[in-house]
Amino acid sequence: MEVALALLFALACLGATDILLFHSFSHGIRSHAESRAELWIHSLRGPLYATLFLVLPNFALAGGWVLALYALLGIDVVITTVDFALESDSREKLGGLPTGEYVLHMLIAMTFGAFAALTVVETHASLLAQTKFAYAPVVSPAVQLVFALMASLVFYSGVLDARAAWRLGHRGGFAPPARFSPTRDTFGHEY
Amino acid sequence: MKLFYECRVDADLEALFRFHENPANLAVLHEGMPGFRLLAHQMDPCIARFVQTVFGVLPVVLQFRRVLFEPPYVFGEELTHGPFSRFRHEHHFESCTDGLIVRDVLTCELPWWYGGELAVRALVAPQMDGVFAFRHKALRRLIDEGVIARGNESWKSPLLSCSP
Repeated sequence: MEVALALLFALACLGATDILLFHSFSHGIRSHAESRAELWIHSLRGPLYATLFLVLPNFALAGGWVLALYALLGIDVVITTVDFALESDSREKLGGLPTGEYVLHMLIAMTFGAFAALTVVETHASLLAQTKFAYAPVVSPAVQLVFALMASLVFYSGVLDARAAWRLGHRGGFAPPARFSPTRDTFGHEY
Repeated sequence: MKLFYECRVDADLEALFRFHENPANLAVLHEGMPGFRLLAHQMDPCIARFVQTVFGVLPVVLQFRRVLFEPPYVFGEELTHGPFSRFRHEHHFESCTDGLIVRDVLTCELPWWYGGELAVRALVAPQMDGVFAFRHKALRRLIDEGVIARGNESWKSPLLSCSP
């Protein structure tokens, strides 16, 4: 399971880069009305990945819980497919999806594929066993802590996406300037 | 953090102001600048949205709305979409004895999670230096080509400053 968890960690890093660099800094989709549907889709990843980050390093699954894990992986495939389908319209007025984001999405998709395949290989033997959900950490406490931190961050990101999507649906368009001052500033260097 | 840039040009004040106040002319002023693309613009209310690639790989979408208009001497815009917590750009046009001074005053603030003032100083300011050096050259070229009418006196002078 260690390799699958390493891939999950890599997936988290790539996903965080996508959110920070492209979703937030580059395109600011949380204040772009046309990205509402994309934001709703992204928000679903928050609880989904928070669950994976908390469960996989800490618990041994068997029976129905393994089936539930496969269902989560399947849901993420659906989320990603819908996300890809929505993105071109969502980003059209922002100049289209940046090349770097295309490349990043490709890397994320490949990493997810490897992670999902390894997870199935590692857990399929437990599928027919009696249903069980037992605390059995497979990583050190430090790594458990890292995954717990990642779980809280991805969940918070999902909440921010959902909140932005809801807000945009009620207000629409770009946010007005935070501060409006029609007066002329004084010249000079100010730090 | 405040940045300012200025250059002296031989142009007609009214013509220079009219050129700058039209957001469509952003595409003319930045023609040939790597990574710049005007995405949308309108006059009333005056809004311009454009994308500027930074560090060669990361495109940043910025949208500005006009908040100050005192023709033909000054106008200004504030950011309404983009990663900055505040970005105000004022354009000042001042007559002097040997031409016009075009002065750009920028007030930039980044949120702390993008590095705050440290990132503005280390990353944004050098980018802006490059952008305004390009704009000053483009402006002089446009005046030379007659796109912007010259002033009454014909004189040549190097740029006063392209640094904050």
